Amino acid sequence: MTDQRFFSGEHHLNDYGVSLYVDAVLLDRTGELPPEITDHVEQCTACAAHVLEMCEIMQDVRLDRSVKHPFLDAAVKKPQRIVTMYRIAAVFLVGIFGGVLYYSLSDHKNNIAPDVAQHSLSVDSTTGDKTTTAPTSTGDQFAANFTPSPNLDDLVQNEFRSESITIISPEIGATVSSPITFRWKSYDGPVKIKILSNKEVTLLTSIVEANSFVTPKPFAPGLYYWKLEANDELLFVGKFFIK
Amino acid sequence: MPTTNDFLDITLLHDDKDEFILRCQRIITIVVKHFIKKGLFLPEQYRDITQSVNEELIKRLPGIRSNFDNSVLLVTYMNAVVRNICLRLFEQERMNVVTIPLHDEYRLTEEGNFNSLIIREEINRLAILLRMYGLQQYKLVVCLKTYYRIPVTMQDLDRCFSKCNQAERAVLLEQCVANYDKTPEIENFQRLVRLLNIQEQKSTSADSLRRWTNEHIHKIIVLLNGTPPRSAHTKETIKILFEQLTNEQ
Repeated sequence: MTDQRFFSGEHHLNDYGVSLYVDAVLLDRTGELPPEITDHVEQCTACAAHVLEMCEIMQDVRLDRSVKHPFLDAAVKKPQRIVTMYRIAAVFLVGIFGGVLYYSLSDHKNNIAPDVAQHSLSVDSTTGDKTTTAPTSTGDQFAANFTPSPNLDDLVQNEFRSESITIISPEIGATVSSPITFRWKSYDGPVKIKILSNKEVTLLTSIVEANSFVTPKPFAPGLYYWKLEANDELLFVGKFFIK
Repeated sequence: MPTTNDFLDITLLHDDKDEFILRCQRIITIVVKHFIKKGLFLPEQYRDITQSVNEELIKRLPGIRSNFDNSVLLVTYMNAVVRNICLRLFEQERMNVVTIPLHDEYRLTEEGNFNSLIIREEINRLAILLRMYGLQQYKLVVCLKTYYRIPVTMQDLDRCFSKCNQAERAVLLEQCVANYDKTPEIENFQRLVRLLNIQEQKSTSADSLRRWTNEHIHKIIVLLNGTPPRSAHTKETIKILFEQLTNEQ
């Protein structure tokens, strides 16, 4: 998830973002920065220049490495907390599994009530079709996954370079299913493919030598954007739906 | 002026405005002197600029106090704030540009010393720039050495190819040292890419690695030259700086 604290409205690093990068450089901890910040500085010359200048200024301020960093050290702790949460969840799941097993062995399985809290089943009286309706909160969440991103929508279908790339698939706005195959032509050399959620979070980045790319992992239903970049330039922005 | 990051703390920011401003003087001095060195302000403007920065900082303090979210070091954030104030003052100054004739006191008497200072500064900037690459810096260093035909060291290879075994690294080192100057550039990259593909689990070609190196040299040139340009670096000057930097390490 992109940490918006570090970005300005114009999608550049703000003073917090630049300061965080500078802290990381001076403390030799750039490897611990959030990927969205390092990716941005790699591609944005203006922000890289800003960081460079701040590092130059800060050279005369010797940072005390023993003092805990409010973000970098907090980020290190997070996985431990997550591991603890996973452990608790695992114990909980084992408990549930044990319970279910006990009931099924005790011939109680027929008495288990259907989980009506999760989904409600209704029958259309005219067609007889069964439809499953998700609860409102889940439904809202589901709908939110299809809300277009105004920033990325603006970039879709723009031509970015004179030597433009020809996209074969998926077509802009196409509905696809996982694994998704991306194909293009008329471009020599490696390109960087990025898949972003409708909330502008980069979900996948890969350098591709060939003219196609197949996603290694399935994506949840929703609206997604994809970008092709080469030589620090944007070649194409497209979007697709997964239902 | 070496300082540490504990001279400014968030408690002071909230509880003792005067002491906080007083401690910010170190930062203000560093930043204003930086911009004087860069030529944005004249040396004789130092006191006036410092005064103006202080006035603006006092005005901005309530905002800083309520907005600072403690996600970064306060000393770094205050440097960013003072830098912004200086740039704003420079913009205001630019509106009333006054040209002044070059007096004798500005004439350089010992150009040699001045040049070596500039070179020192540019080497420092290049070193910072490489550190900005994080873990990628080791890859970039090896690629730059290959591009500029500067012999790589075992330490470079150890840092860059941690996932390759020692024997593979030793073979590469031998090849690099023995025939660096005689072999075509693409062959040198070919040797490098073989290990890099093991390291990164990719299938990059030697040519694309050479292109990647070229792109980053271009990026280094753009960043060191600045916008608007205040230096005129080329691939050759980067080579000189990089050679100097690697000799020192």
